[in-house]
Amino acid sequence: MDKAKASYLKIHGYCIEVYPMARPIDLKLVLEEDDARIFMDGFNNPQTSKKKIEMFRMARSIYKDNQV
Amino acid sequence: MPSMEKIPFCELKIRRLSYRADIKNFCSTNTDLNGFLRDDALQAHKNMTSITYLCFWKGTVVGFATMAAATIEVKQIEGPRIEGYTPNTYPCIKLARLAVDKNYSGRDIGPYMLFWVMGKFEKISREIGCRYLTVDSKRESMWFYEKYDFVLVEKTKNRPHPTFYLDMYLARANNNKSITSY
Repeated sequence: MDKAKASYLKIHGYCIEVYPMARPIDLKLVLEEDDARIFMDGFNNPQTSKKKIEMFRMARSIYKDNQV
Repeated sequence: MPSMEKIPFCELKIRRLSYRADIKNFCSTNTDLNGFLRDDALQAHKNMTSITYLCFWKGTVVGFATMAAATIEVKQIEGPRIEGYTPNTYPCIKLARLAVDKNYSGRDIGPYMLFWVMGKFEKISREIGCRYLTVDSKRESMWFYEKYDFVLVEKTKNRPHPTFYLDMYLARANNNKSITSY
């Protein structure tokens, strides 16, 4: 049995358990038209808000206590 | 019935996934995520394609998050081009997986891990160039990313896993008090 098939089927005695393969991680996001325009507007003029500032403050604080 | 009491953030700990970690009892509501942790995550470490971090509470794995380097490509926008070189790809980090054990859902573990990932991002972005955090959400979790100001990519909104991104530029800018210090 090849490796790919083995990840689908795990045989224990007479019992066959079938596991679905995990969805592959898609590492490339392609932006077009309006999505591209919104992205570029944000890239050139990043907007902030009190909520975002608070969120990033919290993120730094949590990571500081749990540096891995 | 599982407790719905929020777990204080100070009681949660993050550790990198290792062979020693006891993950066999972890069970989220999503079989795909369970399968990834059980069968693929360690292999991905070995292949250096993604890194998975476990979230522990009182010694039990209650959630996990997986990160990988990724990219955003912007197709040329119609109209006059800006003079000079305009890059069309942008570095980002992908939050490739985020899951909470179903017995601990609703107890603020998801937000804790998301904040931790943002903190990790901020550290990484000091050493290599990366600006965006991207994620492919489950449809039922879209509200979660919207709540934290992620931008939905409209083109993907009807897909099984709609994509979001978060501009982390100000995370660094605010940490350094002044944007002009760049």
